[in-house]
Amino acid sequence: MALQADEVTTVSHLLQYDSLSGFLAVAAIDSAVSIPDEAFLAGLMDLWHQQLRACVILEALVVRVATLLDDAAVEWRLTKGAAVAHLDYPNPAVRTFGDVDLVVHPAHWDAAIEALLASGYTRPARALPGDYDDRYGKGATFTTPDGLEIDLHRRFAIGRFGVTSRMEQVFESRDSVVLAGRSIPTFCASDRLLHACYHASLGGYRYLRALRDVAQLILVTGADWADAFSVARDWRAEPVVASAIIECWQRLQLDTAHPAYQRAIARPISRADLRALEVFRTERPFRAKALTAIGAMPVLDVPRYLWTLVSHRD
Amino acid sequence: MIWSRAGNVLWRSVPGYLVLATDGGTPSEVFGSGSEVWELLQHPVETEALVTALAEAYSTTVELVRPAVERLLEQLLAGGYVEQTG
Repeated sequence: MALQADEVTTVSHLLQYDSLSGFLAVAAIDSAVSIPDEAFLAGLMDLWHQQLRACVILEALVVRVATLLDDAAVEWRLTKGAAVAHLDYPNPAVRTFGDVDLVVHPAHWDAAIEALLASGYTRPARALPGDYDDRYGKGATFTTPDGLEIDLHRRFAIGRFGVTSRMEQVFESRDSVVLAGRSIPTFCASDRLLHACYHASLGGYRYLRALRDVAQLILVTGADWADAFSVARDWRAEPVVASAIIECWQRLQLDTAHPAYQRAIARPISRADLRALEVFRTERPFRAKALTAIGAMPVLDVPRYLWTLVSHRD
Repeated sequence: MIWSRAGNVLWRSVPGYLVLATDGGTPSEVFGSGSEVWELLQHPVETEALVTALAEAYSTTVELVRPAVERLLEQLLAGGYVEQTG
């Protein structure tokens, strides 16, 4: 397969903004893709090296944050890019990433925030009033004094498929990676898949890499996708897993006879769920996404939830 | 002299490029055959074995390779990325 001249602009954009350089660089090295444009190939390698450099900087940050959280007796998991790069790809250099994502056990959310703030990490975005974070929020972004970002997750998503989650469940088992000699906790494979599906269906900037993670976890790691569906069913979030798998299989043109795909298309998705998925798919503003939760939460919670959102500006 | 990777190193190694860091340090980048040396350091290895392996890989002589390998090992040692014994 050869990269055509008229594909260069589109591919360059994806490489830059979806951190796909590792996939294409490895394909070029393995001669799976031919890149006749030498300038483009040199630029690809430069970009890959930059993204690899960023990865080790971010992993150093993970190790420092691990010390903070472990010292504060916070239970947490490394998730998304830094975790799947090591656990689900044959070489972590293939799967680059641009930030650090951690999920904190619900019971330790306040302690985690206190530990980071006390160590000089800042939370640039104002927290929503009251106990929004704890009851409905996705999490908080912190920055280091030198400008690196840590996304601390309380849930996998805001809105309809976030408020119904019971995050304690994904802390019942664990896996780990070793970074700089330190054991770093991660989710088990099926929970990594669950989070990958949430990101592929509901996350921001969810391009091909998010779908590749779903495919990689199911087809290469062998993550128990039935388990991911099972947890999602408990959370009333099966459409999230189903839609991620369906989009993944269709866009990456995978074999539709696979039982995970067959399971995904067999599950009818309600109109309300489809509407909610569409709000995320079309990258609507925060408030629109948050409002998708209304039909999924206890009626008595709705007025306070609405008031909190009304008082918040996007 | 036997060389091995230090235990607290973060790295990515790909053909022609190696980047290393410790949890508090600024990353160091090595272009060229540094990634091959790093792969050979996966297990403790003597200097001569490294030199011989590199010379074979590049179809050249150990005399030509040795200075570059020794210089790289000193740089890696100074950065805290490798340990030496013996």
